[in-house]
Amino acid sequence: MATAEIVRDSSRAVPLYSDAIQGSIQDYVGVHAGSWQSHAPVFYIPEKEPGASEPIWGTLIYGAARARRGFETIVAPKAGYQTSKTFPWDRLNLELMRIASLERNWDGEGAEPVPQHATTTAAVLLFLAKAAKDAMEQSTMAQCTFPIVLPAVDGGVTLKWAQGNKELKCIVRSDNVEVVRWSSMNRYESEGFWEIPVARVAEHFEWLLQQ
Amino acid sequence: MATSTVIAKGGPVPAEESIYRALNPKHFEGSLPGDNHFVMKQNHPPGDGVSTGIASLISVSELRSIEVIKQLYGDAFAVAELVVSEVLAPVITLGISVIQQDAAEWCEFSGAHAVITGYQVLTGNAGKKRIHDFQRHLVKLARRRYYPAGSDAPTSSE
Repeated sequence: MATAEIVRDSSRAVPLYSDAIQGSIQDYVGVHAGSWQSHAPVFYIPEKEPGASEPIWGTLIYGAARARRGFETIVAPKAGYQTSKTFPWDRLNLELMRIASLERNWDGEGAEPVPQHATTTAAVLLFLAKAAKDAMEQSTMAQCTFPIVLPAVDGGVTLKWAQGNKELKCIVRSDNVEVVRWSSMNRYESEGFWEIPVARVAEHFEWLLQQ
Repeated sequence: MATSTVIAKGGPVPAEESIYRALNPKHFEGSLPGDNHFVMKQNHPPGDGVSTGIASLISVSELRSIEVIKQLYGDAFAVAELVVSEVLAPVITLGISVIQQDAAEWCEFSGAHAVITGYQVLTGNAGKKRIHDFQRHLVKLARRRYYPAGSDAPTSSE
């Protein structure tokens, strides 16, 4: 249901199936009720023609790698974090790549494309979340669900976590992130709204993981 | 079509009414209604809002027959059903309302169209917070009762 048609000319594209990548984000966060068709392509990777460049995918891959390198060399040492080889980076990254490749009007109702910088920032955000989880686990054995990752129709990336009775929602727009959090699933009103640089979202992950 | 009701042109939809929201298949979160089904922005023009059908004036199958929606969502799109009183319960004091609003593109069902609107008056970061709260509320209501694609039987994620 949430599949996306990214490449208009699929005759020159390689279909990527959900079972080939262990599901998209929607598949493994446990929110979907089994209607996923395993043989429906998750999305298509453009096939490179001889001599042709792949500006979008090249930039995306470069951007993701740069985000990870930036986290490992800049953010992580300062914060005392280490990235884990078991982090499901590939699956999350694939979802971010799918989101970043969406074209204008991807939903048929005038949705904006997602700026590549927003997906790069979202990648950094995911590393921060993982780092916070790792730090917490060392002392409290906290468990944390994987986020739901979605494109925002007005251009951006939405990431949502549910942990125990808490909910955290982040909407990444370029460098800044809008953060909303709820202390209870049943409570209507959120605790607050913040519009902050990505590095400051770490404190909200810590809030999410506190028991 | 369900029992008839008297709803003033351009007036508020009665609290006891239900409204249907056609669900774009590209906006699901897994198999469930999601945030993108209820997008509300502070800069939307006044009077614009979340488009819905008034349940007493249009049925789910009639909503699915509207050409302009079929062209966007396909023949058998999913539909959420929300009770107006539940929609407005947490926001009634904020100026948010459900208003009948003729939609010419709905042809014979033009008068059955309504919008959830009024959120445009919520400004600044405090307004954004309230809109996020309201959006989450609408998603919860939609998940409580919706007709999956191709189905005439309502279901719930609860």
